[in-house]
Amino acid sequence: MIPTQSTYDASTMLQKFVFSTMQVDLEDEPSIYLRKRVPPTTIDTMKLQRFSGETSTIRRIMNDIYLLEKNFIFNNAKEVKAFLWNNSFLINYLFEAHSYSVKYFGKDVELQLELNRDFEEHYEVLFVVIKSSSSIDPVIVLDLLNRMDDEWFLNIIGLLQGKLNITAEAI
Amino acid sequence: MSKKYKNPPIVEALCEVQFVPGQPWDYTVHGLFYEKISKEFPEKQQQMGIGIKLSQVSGTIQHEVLPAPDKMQFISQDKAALVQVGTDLLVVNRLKPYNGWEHFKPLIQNNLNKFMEVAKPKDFKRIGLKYINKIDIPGQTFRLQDYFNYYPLIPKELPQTHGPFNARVEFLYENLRDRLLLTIGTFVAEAPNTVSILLDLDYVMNTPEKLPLNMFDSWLENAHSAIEKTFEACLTGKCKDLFEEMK
Repeated sequence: MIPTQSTYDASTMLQKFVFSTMQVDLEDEPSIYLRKRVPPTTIDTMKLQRFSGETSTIRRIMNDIYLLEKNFIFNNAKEVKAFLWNNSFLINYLFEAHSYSVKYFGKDVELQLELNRDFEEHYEVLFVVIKSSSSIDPVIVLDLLNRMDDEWFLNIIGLLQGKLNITAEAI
Repeated sequence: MSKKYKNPPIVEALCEVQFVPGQPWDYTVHGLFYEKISKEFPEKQQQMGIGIKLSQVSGTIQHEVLPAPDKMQFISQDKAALVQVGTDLLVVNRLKPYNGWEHFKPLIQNNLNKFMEVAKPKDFKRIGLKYINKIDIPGQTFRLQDYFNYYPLIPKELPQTHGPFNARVEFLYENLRDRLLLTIGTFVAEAPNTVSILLDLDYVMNTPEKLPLNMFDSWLENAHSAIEKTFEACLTGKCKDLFEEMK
């Protein structure tokens, strides 16, 4: 049976997709030689990397922390990583925070993770710091943050055990 | 007789079995399997996977990444053990505190037997037994050779003090049918003033239809022996002192 053009295209696309999921780590590869080996794809690589079929819970957490580090700037990386390791239930919410920040502040938004702690008060909170472009009026930044709170953060705040908060700042 | 430690460094042990299907995968397998294990693993949660939706729009093929059912996880009451079931896949995980091979082995065997009763697979496609060890070394710096017999050798022309590292080697067993993947590397340190090292030992058989279903128990025992021998060989006495051997 001779395939129609559309089934041929679909099959080719599927093969490219399967290949790209295997090679997806190379998407951020700075080497031009290695990048050339990867077919261009517009698929959300962060989603693909997260759901890579890892069956070890420990390795999954490690992979998630690694992936978060590629999408957030960790201020004092060692402390932030240790906090995430000890509070791994927050990881899913951080991926959500990334999606909502991009939705409201644009794909070029800079996201930082910063740990605020007070040992005497036994207080440890991880802050997602959204660094928005200086070209955006601070009033608008505040409005975007409020809208993000309304759509997402206020719905999950009760599940966070007081360990995650979000703030926005102009760069 | 294998050594026992008061504070074993194992943070996770898991056995992953992929099958050659005997029949097309049926999602009722999840429910039938859960009926058999729900007393020991009462909590359940779904792990989402990735699906791709292809559609033709204005003569071009567009793709969309969508969540798709992937695995069901069944979790024990104390949350220290879980069983994962996916399409032609069974995984049995044991988290900290690891309670010994004499408990983990029957946990794997019992769940495998129950899975095979409901899924009726044809053969094994891939089997892996993996142990992940996290070893916390006190101090900010230390000499790897004081604690490990397996580590990256740094040429003397290079700085001997280095930061995070990762090294992996594969050993071949059973006429190349099986492999042991040994990985050592730095890891997230939970406590201040410690360096954590991850030692990952993964024994795999990944040649489909090379191991009869009734040979699983002996494969499992061999895999565990190889892992145990490798683990003991990789660590120095000073390192094992951190775990406090029980005599």
